[in-house]
Amino acid sequence: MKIVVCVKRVPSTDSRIKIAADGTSLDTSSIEWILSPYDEFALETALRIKDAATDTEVVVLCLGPSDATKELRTCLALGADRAIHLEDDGASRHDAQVTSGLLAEAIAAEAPELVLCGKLAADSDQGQVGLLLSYRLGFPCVTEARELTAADGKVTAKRAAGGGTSEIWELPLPALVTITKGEHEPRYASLKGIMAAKKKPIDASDVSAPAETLRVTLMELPAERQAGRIVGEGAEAVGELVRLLREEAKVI
Amino acid sequence: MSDSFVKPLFLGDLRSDQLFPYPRLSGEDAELLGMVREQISRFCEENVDAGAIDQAHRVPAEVLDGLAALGLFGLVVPEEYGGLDLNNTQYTKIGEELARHDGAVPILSGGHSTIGIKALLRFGTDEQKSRYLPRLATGELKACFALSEPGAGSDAQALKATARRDPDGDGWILDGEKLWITNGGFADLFTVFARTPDAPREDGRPSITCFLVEKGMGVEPQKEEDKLGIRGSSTVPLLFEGVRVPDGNVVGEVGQGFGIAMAVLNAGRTGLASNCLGASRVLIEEMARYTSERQQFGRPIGSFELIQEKLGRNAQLVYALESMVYLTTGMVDAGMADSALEAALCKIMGTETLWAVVNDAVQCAGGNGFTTDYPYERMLRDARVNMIFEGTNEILRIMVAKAGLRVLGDALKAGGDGDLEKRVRGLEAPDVPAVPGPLQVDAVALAMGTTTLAQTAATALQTHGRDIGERQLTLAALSDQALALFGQAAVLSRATSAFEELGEEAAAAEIVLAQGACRRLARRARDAQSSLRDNDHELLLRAAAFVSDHEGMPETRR
Repeated sequence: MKIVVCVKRVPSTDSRIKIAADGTSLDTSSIEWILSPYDEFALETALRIKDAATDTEVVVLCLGPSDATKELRTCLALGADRAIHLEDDGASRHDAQVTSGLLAEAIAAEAPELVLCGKLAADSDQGQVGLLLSYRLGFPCVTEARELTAADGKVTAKRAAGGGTSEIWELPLPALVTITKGEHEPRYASLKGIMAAKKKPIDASDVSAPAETLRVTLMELPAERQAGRIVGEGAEAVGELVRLLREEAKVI
Repeated sequence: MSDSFVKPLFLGDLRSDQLFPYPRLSGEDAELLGMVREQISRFCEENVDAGAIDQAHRVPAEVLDGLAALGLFGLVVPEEYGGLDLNNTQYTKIGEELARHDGAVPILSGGHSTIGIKALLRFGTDEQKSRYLPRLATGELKACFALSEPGAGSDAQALKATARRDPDGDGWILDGEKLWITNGGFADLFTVFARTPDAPREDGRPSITCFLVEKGMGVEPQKEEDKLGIRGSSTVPLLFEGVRVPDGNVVGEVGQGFGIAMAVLNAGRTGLASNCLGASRVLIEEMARYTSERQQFGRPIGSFELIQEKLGRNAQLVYALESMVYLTTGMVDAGMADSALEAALCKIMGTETLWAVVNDAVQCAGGNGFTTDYPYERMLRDARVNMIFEGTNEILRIMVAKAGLRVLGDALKAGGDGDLEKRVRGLEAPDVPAVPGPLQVDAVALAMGTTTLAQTAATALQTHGRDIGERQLTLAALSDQALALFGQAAVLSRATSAFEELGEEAAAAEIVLAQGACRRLARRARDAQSSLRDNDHELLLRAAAFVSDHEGMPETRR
């Protein structure tokens, strides 16, 4: 089986976010970049399928600037077989329509049985690309799967439904599934994996994105949080605490 | 590029061509480093608990196994033997990363990669390498370096362990005792230095030979030392009693072992400096967080100048340290053969900077800094040993100055009469390195400081002649000047490259740090130099004599 995993390079979740002078983009000068954490889960899911069925081919696909080869190389070190890098200039930002269009084209050329995406990218937090992709590719889609297994020409996805219950879905192939955090922590790349990754192919090509359909007009940071306050101690403070929660914070 | 940058400073030569551009990893090298560092960082974040390691006095086996699987023990092993073959800069940056998470783990890693396997890597035969390196790369075998002995610390050449020819076979029989052996408690392969009187050297110097000794040949590690800091690292005495070592386990030539030991140690000191860098950076982050959160007098303590002074000064020092370390590793990667002085200065700067940073971090945290609820006291304990091991800072200061004076002595021999006199009167300043406008004042100071060092060194030779070896205060003052100059040079190199690549606006913070660091270092150089002019040294030595004579404070009126 061939699996394509879509991955994105995002600012590290513990980066200090600063807005650039133009007011509509991030100041990237002091940002550490990482693989988006949900994409790590998606890759881990694919690698577990490969662990169980060794004739599986895992291809990672990334739309991003040339520096993103580091993240792709890490995917290869973790166990992906090869990578496709759609290189953009790093400056333009693509809305989900544009991104999904570019990715869909590359995926169609690969004709995989299964496409996996993280449920959302940790930077834009939109969760649109997976869904748009499934529509463009005409693949059935389940979102936010916590677990995924493949057997007998179909995949079985488990996802959380309301009230702590789980849904089990069976999808015919080809299919697209977006992945959320499940039971399995992403593995570490081993020494052997890192060495092997040096020799695995990254198929890079320049892309020029069509005009965006959406545009960010302004970014702003959340208001600074007020310092905490100790109302008092012990039982006698309860009355005042309740009053403040009700009248000042208006949360009860 | 093969020459030392620091040595010519003693002649008043400033080799600006070696400084620019500030070295940078190639794209591919940076990518590999990024990948390995990211894996190690994530692993440490999730699995390394520095407080628990300190309390348990050991690094858990699962952590060692996990790090081994990530390649930690194969960082510098060539690819053909299953390692990652990192270059000096990449390896040094991994050490910095490890030191962010714990004090003992980077020592363990360095005990293996910086010194444990280095003699084999640099001086071993292909056969020895294929016999051991594949297993050393995976961590199946762990290595250590055994040179020090009870009577041979700073004076390593006084070692007494002895290997005699085995009368019944082709090998050697090793007897003796080693002390302070990092990783000794669990190592499988020991790089051991011992006297070989059966094979005397022609030049009459002591014949010392380097051996690869397997644990199974009969090495007996003794009880773990109970230490002030880096308690999770293994530090033991080793006992060798009639240990048979085959000829095939001699590294390099018989009798040439001391040179091997020094080559390994001299090249390795940037590793320790980068450990100090990693810990310093974490402490500065902690200080910034703590001082912005802690409120007194109704405002964060970070809003007071005396706290800001600590944040600012340490940031300047750490910027200088970082510039020195990666200028040195970059020069080594570009082919500089002799980095002994640069690495020694990095070690001095690193260990003393960390000590200053951790001291200030404890101070900023007040009472909290003194308790085990916060990491500061552990980091303070961990930091202390750095100024002692891998060559005490005192020995390294002597080493740097003597090496510099040797270069001067050679130049004087070549230059004939009157040359010393000319140098004592003062040479013309070297060309001022080309730097951007905001750094020009500091570049001038570097050029003038170089002349001052040359003049001071010549004056010291003229004043003390052959006795200079005994004038340790003078030697240390010269070293401190050289350290300051190397630091200024490294900072100017790095900030200039940043300015040129990023532009004035983006490099603004870097320029501010660079200016501050250069001025701080220049002041250090001036202080060191004026200690020679004033009678500081004489007063010091007389006070010391009183203490020795009275076995304590001399009688004074109380």
